[in-house]
Amino acid sequence: MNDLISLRRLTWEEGTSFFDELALIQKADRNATHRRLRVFDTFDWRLFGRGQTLTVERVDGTYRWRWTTIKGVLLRQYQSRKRPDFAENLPRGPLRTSLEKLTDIRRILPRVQLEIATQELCFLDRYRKTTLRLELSKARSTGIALSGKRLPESKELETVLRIQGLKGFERDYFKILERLERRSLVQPSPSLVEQALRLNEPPAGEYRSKPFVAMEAKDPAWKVIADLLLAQLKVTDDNVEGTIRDLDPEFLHDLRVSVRRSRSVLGQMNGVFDLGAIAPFRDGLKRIGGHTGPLRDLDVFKIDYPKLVGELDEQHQSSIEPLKVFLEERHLEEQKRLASVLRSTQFKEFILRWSAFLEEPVSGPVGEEQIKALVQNRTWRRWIRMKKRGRQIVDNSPDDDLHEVRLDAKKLRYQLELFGQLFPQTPLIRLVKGLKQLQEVLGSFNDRCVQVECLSRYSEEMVARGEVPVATFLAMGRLQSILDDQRRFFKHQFKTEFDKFLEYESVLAKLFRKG
Amino acid sequence: MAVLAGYSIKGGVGKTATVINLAYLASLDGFRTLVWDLDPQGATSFYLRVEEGVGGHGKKLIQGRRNLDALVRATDFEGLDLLPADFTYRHFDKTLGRIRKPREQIARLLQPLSESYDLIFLDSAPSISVVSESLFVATDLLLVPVIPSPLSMRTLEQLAVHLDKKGPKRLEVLPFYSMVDRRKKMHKEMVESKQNFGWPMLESTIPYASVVEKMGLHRSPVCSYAGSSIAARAYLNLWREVRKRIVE
Repeated sequence: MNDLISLRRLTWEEGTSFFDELALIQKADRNATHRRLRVFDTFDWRLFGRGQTLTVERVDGTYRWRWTTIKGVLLRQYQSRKRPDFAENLPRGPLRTSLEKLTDIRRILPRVQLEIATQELCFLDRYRKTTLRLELSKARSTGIALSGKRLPESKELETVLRIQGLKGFERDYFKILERLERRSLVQPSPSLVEQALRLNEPPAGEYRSKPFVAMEAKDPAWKVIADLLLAQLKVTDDNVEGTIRDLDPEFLHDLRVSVRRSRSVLGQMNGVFDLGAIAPFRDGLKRIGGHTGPLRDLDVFKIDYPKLVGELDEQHQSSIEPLKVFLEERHLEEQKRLASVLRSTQFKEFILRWSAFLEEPVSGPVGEEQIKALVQNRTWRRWIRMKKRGRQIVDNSPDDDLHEVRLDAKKLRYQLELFGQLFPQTPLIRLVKGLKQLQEVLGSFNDRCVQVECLSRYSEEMVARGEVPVATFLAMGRLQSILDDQRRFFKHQFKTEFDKFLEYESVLAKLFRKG
Repeated sequence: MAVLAGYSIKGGVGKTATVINLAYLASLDGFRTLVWDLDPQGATSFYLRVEEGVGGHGKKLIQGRRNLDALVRATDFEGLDLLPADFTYRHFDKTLGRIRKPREQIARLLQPLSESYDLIFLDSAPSISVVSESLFVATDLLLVPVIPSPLSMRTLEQLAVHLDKKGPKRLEVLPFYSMVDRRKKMHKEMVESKQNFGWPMLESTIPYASVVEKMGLHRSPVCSYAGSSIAARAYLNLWREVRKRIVE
């Protein structure tokens, strides 16, 4: 591995003339090809973000995958009768292991298509072994929508000369580079794939589930909050189609998180906007949260299902299969219902109205206050509430009390993330790290509560739908019991973790307590 | 990283063709693959069009004065690299015999390549020697092609006895029928008998086929120039069987 690659920008005529010159002085094979290939990545550009690409070309009924660096150095290749979808669907092996690390549960989607015309020149040694490859390529690229359809507009890319030196034959590579410099063909170029991805609409790497919104300490609160909420609205909107199409569970997750963050900001920064004007939007966001909850519960259950079933003994594992069938059916139904909500005129109009409001918001009683001072005030108040609630919790406290603290912690975390740039970074990063540890325990506790409750609900629904074997209910009961034990374990862990977080109070005070 | 070796005490059984074709298929299957041509005859290097070394790197390697990575050559098949043979490999036995822990030397040399490659195929000369002892220690899966004849089966049994006494415990031996000519009654009967000779035979068999012999003309794997031939499909089946062992 570790081939050398150099990419140069030049015109087709310059490249052809250079090839003509080389072919006279060096034994070489010369070919012309036309190819069509597609560039795949996750919706949030996980491969591109790592400086990598996955291109797929269809040849003789087979899909040839090439996983490369952005410049084109091969990392791995693969041949399959199928296009990429999820890394977990690959056969076990290093390709799957490596790809899963990057893409996790995200679907690998076609993002861009390229039609490429190439002239290839391969230097040969006396054994007719290729010692150097030169490819002169021009191409047009077209974006691909989430539906899989190509967008109507195609773009012409700049012609690229790709010089690929082969390991062990580096001398020819450096000779050619020298020759190119003597001919003043020295302009470096991005690869065709990189050009295509950057010209794409939207450009590669642009999507962020946690968008950054710049702000200054003295900016008026109404302006900062409006900008933040617009950024969150964009995330919501970006994820609607992927959720409707059920491409992967992260679309719904990102959509829900953006809505939750919006609700948290509106709650924490109450009074920034006119209370009457903002009320319908708070209600609307709450309704969206309500519509998306059941499907998210099913998604999480599906993702965790193998691990959960693994907790059971063999006998119960074999009996619980009807639950899996039920979950698939319910997921389909819930998916359909949510898709219909997201396609509805009401939802679309709500998004438009919310966007319009944020472009010209109506300021409220504290709207003109400076953002940093307001954030400090509200964050400190949130902490005091959280501290009071957390200190009162003991092992036999109702579960709801821990849920309140969990929500406090979440709101505190959102404050730190959304407004963190206004504060010194070192103590802030420490604080977020400490809060994350507490949230891990609270999150694990909440997950078990939700799963226990879901299992009760699902068993009732399964009965309502028809005959279910007794063995299945026994297995579900056993699973519920295991989860309940885990719930109690995490509940017990809460006090230790909360006491650890109390040690960060001095950091919180330094950052947020004024006067 | 997993190390596979094509091995046989006898020559002319299809060992090199197997190594080249499986390595090629592995490289198309998501594995970063290297072949080390340990045979001073250099057949693998010839088939992959890479000039054999005459620089004498064999001795320098063992003495730690060169490292393997500097000697690697890219083949014409992206994702498949080759460590070409060197004529000095004919003295490998003697060189290994003069140093401490000779059986561990090939494994030691391969170790630094584990970051760069998922699979390394070793193509060795047909023999039982210090070099083959060192190969056994370095290898995870030993691919042993066997022509379906009584003499070949006897050789396989001899190998089983030898490895039972002196072989590393973790070495997994995968014998398979090679150069099978089903028009010959003896070949057909031996393959269908499913008899074990020390180890269970793999299900896949490689046919005797002129398209495989033409590797010498094309100087590339059968699976690249005759991908839909019976021989290519046989190598693919063999690869799939071997692959299961690698990922388990």
